[in-house]
Formats: sequence, structure tokens, C-alpha cells
Amino acid sequence: MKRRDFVKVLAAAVSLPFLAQVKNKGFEAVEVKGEDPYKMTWNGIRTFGLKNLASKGDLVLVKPNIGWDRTPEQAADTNPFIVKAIVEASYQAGAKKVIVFDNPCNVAKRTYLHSEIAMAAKKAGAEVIFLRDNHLITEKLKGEFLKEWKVYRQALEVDRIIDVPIVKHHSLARATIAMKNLMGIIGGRRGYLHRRIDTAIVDLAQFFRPSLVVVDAYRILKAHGPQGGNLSDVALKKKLFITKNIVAADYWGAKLLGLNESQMAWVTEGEKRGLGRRRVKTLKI
Amino acid sequence: MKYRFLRWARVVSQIFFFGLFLYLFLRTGFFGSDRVTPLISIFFRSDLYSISIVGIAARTLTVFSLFFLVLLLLSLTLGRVFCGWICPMGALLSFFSWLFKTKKRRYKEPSFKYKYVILIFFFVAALFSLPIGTVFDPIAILFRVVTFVIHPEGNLALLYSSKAIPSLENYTMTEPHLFYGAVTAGIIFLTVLLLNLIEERLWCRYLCPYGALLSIISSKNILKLRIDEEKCTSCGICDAVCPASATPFNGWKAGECYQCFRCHTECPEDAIYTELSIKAKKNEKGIDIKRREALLTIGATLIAMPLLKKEKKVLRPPGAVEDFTSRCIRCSECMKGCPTGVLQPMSLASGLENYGTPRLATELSYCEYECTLCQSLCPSGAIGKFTPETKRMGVARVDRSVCLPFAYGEECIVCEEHCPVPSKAIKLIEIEGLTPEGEKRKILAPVVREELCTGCGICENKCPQSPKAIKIYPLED
Repeated sequence: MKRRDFVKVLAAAVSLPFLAQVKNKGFEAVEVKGEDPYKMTWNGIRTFGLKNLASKGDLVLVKPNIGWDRTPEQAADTNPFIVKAIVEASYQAGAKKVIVFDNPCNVAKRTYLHSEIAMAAKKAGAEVIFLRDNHLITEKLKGEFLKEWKVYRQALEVDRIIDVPIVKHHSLARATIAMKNLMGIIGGRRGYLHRRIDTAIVDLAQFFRPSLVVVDAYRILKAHGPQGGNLSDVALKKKLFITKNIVAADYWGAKLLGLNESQMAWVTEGEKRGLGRRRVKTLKI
Repeated sequence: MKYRFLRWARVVSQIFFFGLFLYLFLRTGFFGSDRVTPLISIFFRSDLYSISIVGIAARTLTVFSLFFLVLLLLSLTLGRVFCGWICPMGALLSFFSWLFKTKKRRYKEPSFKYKYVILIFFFVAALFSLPIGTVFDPIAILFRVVTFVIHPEGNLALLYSSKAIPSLENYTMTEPHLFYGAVTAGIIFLTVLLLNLIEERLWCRYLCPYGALLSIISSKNILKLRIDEEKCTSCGICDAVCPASATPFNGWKAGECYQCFRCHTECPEDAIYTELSIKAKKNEKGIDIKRREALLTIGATLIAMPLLKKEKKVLRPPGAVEDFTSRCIRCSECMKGCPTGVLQPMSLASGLENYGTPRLATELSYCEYECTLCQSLCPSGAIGKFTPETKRMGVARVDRSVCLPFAYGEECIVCEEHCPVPSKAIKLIEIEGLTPEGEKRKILAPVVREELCTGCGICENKCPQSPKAIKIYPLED
């Protein structure tokens, strides 16, 4: 190869991400690999386009998984640094206010603290809300399985929902990623949903329509999910996936967990009901 | 002048300790750490009465702490200052006497013997490993009513008011829980409070067993009340105003006196003074119970004891020691602090010896796996040392006639999902389920691995079935 050709190739290689960023048409998702979850998130968001997080004056709900009284190393809850970066980026994109909450399975005070999410989100300027029973209102979800259900009113008042799940094993749904993470904004007897879990979580995705999904696969929980506890069940993947397409997000996460196509009924159902295609053009950075 | 200052200093001290009591109450709970300072339950750790009772009942010295010794020395030397200067219940009763202007009765020689009868009864019961006397500890009575009634009700009131003033919601509990036993705690407290209407601090004078114990301990104190007989006109005002009926004029009862300095300041002739001395005056009176009465009480208690005992297996807090009912001082610290509200007081129906002790109410809530808060709240060591890994409160059992996969062939793994044991005490097995329509399905169903189960009860709590298809049962021996 001549020097001139080499320079050309190099220039093309370097400018490609920039071109992609300007157009933002060539891909539907960004897969980020890196060492530092905070930086990875920022890189991913910049590549995907900051404007996809919020419009000016928006009230944004950033919904991480804060379900369990576990530490970030145990990979039962979303990585706090990713939440922090998303909250900051939302403000930079013009959000008026960012709120963060979850309806956890353990005591909220403990999960918020030990997952380190509350602190990280507050530092970034978000309002961290403790949900109370009097916030629940019965809402017509018009789903196939969930006709109506008790929903936290804060989730209905926001302009956008940014879904920030972590990739985890789940013994019934096989995996809990973006769609199942939405179970944290409803109340009531959530155990009932397990009778038809795949349909139920697609119902939720269809109703709430998160405007952006950021899948945390920095650490993933391979077994004994969704709450884990053993560090030996945690795998360090150092990856992140950003998309608007919740089906693609779940598919990507499920693949990362090593599920085969027949083990992801909820992805198939989501695809069938028009929530998006599972395979999308992905930019890897 | 000096005595007027001391009289007001006492009021300030009462307000201070009542405030301290409320502050420590509000700080009893999870505020970011699973270990809290022992100071949080200092009123109970220094409780001469309850701690002595469980010390006897459990035949152990480990319950006694430094705080206990400090209060013991204070009472031995200065008299019954705890009742007059420190006791938050005493402060509250003083306040109510002042509020309702309880009539000061004309002086009449009162009998204090009932509180000694009560005290002897409870100490003999403690010898039989029944520390039921701790139920009537005045601090526990107050702590119980605040925990079970006032705090939850106040929370509800705040929540209700937050409809009008939204910012109030930030002061409500994030996970409020209600308590069984609010009614009995309320009745006991109200009785003590309303007795006050008959006579000023009636409870403290005639009934309080803690007070009785302090009377005995402090009857030889060195802070002696004296009357300057040259100034005294024998008007008897001092006897009439004394809130303890310690009769300064008619033979001072050193053990009854709260050291409140009311008689010093009310005396029109300023004839009353206090001096440091170990010598008792001739007309000073001792403890107000005769030997025969004391012996009778002991005898009656001995006869009554077998009727009280009733053995029953119940779910206890994590780390509960073997002789839990003997060790527990029924103070409700653990129940106040428990972040899930799973620790609930046992009712009178479960036997007098169990009344007021905490149990694990898995039908209401569950024990948080990582939480170890209650062990540092417990002032008597009834809740011993434990870690999340060594918790073993009971064991879960599945009722297959109710469980969705077993009984109806329906998908459900809620118990397994919530099981906090890292390698899961609930295992899923694949079974051939049968739906009500007769259709056969391969589905997952739960089985309990008893050797891993901590008995935390989150499975029972989150089970979507009613009645619950998985429940916690006490461990067998």
C-alpha cells in the first residue's frame, strides 16, 4: 500500500463515526465497549445523538433497575455511573427536570442506598422519588393481558421515559432487560403478571413507549437472577447498548446472556405487535 | 434562692430528657447503616428495673452495661432523682398534672405498699424465668404507645394533610407500617395517664414498679432533707405540696422523695434545707411495706406462677437467643427500628409471658436479607449476634394444593425470584402441570431446600395466591 492510500484509508476510518453522527440515519442502535461505565455512556450518547434524550423543557423519567438490596458489584441493579451520565445528558439536552425512581422488591430506602443510584442521580441533579401507595392510580393499559392496572402517577405525568435496565437472568422470562424493567413503574400485586409474563411486559412496553433504552451490560447477571448475590454469577462484559427500539434492546441483551431464538418469547411477541424489529443496524464503538 | 434555681433546673432537665427520648425514638431505624450506636437505646440499657428483671430471669450478667452502673450509682447517692429529673414518663405525667391542675389533696398518710407488692410479684416471677414485669416498665409503656399508636397515626395524619400541603409528604415514612397491639398499648398508657387525674403522679407514687425499685435503692441516699426546727411553724404546707407524698414534716421518706425541691421553695419560713450526710434523722421513715406483707406476696406469686407459663413455638426475630422470652425486656426497640415492619408485638392471647415480645409476622411483611439492624437496637441481647448468612428464623414450606404451578398448571416463580439467598433456597423443578381444563404442560414449580432457607418470609409475602401457597413455620428442635 502506498503512503497516499494509507492516509486515505486512515482519514476515512477516522471520519466515519463523525459522518455517522452528523447523519444519524445509518444506524438504529449504538453498542459501546469500554472500561469506564460513565465515559462509555457519554460516548454512546454523543454518538447516538444528545437530542434523542430530551427536548427543551421536557420532564424526563430515567428508570433504572433499583429492585434489590444489593451492591453494584452484584449486578442486580443498574450501574449508578450509567444513571448519572444519562441524567446529566438529559439536562444538557434541555430537560426541565429529571426524575428517578423504581418500585423495588426490597425496602426502597435500602435499595436506593446500596445500589448507589440515589446518590449518583442526585449528584447529577435528578429528583429521586420514594414511591408511596397514595401515588398509585388505576390506569387503562389496554393491553392483551393487562387491561387495567395500578400505575404510579409520576410515570404518567412525564414527557419521556428513558428505560435503563441491566441485563439479568430470570428463571421464568429467561432474561429481564428493558421491557421487564418497566414493571418498576407499576404497583399492585405484580406477582400476578407472572402468569403470562411475556404478554404482560409487552403490554407495558406498548403502553409506556420508552423514548430511549440504554441497556447496561457493564456487568451482567448470568444465573440466580434477578437478584443474584453470588459474585461468581456476575460476568464483566463492559458493554452498553443505546437504541429507541425496545425489542432490539431486549434481543441484544438476551443474546449476550446466551439465549437462543426460541427462548425469547417476549421478543417475538413484541416484534409481532409492532414494537420494532429485533435485528437493527448497530454501530459499534 | 438556691432551691428556686434547683426547682426550675429540674423542669428543664425533665424537658431535656423527654426531648432526648423523642429524638432517640425518631432516630431508631434505618438511616443508612445496619449498625447503630448503643446510645440509641440508652434509656433501656440503663433501665435498673427491666435489666435486673431479665438478668434474674435469664440468669445472666451480660445484660448489665456501663449505663446501668451510672444510673445505679446516681440513685444510691442522690436518691430517686431518676423519677424526678430523668424519667420521660414522669415528665409527661408532671406535665399533665400541671395542665389539668390536678387537685393537691389534703395531707393524709398514704400507703405506698402496692408498688412494692407489684415489684415483689414481678421479681419472683423473674425467678421463674418470666420477666413479665418489664411490660409495666414506665419507659416501655411510653415507648410502646409512641411506636404502636402515635407514630403511625401521626404519619397517617401527615399523609392526609399532604393532599392540601404537598411538601408535608416528604416528612412521612416511605414504607409505613402499622402494628398489632396498638389497642392494648394505648389502653395501658391511657390508664396510667388518666390515673393522674385522681392524684398528681398517682402512677409514680403508688404503682410504678420501677419507682418502687428506685425507692428501695435510694432510701439510704446522702442528699438529706432537713427542717430547721427553730424556723418551722408546723404549718404542714410541705406535706401538702409534695408530689411524692414523701412527708418532709411528718417523717421524711427518703426513698419516696424525687428531690424536686418544691417543699423548699413553698415553705413560707424557708425552714427546709438539704445537706449531704449519711446519717439518717430519727424520725425518717423507711420502705413502706411490712415483712409479713412481703412474705405473703412472695407466697401468692409462687402459687400463681404455674398458671402463667404456656409453651408455644413462635417465629422470633433473627438472632433470637435460646431463652428469648427470659431475655427480652419488651421494650419494642426492635419493632420500632425494623425497616420492613415484620417484627410485631405478641398479643395477650398468646400468653402473659409472651405479651409484648416481638415475633416475625410473615403474614404482614418479611425480614430483609441484608439487614442486621435489630441486633444493635436490642438493649438486653435477646437478639444476639448474627449476620445475613447466619439468619435462621424458620423454614418455608410449599402448600401444593394452593401453589399455582402445582395446583393449576399455571406459570409462577415469584417465590424463587424473591428468594434472597444467593444460591436460592427455593429451587425450581420442571413438572408436568395440569390445568383445570385437563391440559398437560411442562412448567417450573418451587421446592424448598430447607438447609439453605433463612425463614425470612419474603416468599410468603410476595406469593400472589391467597391463602399463601408458601409459608414460614417455626424450626423444629
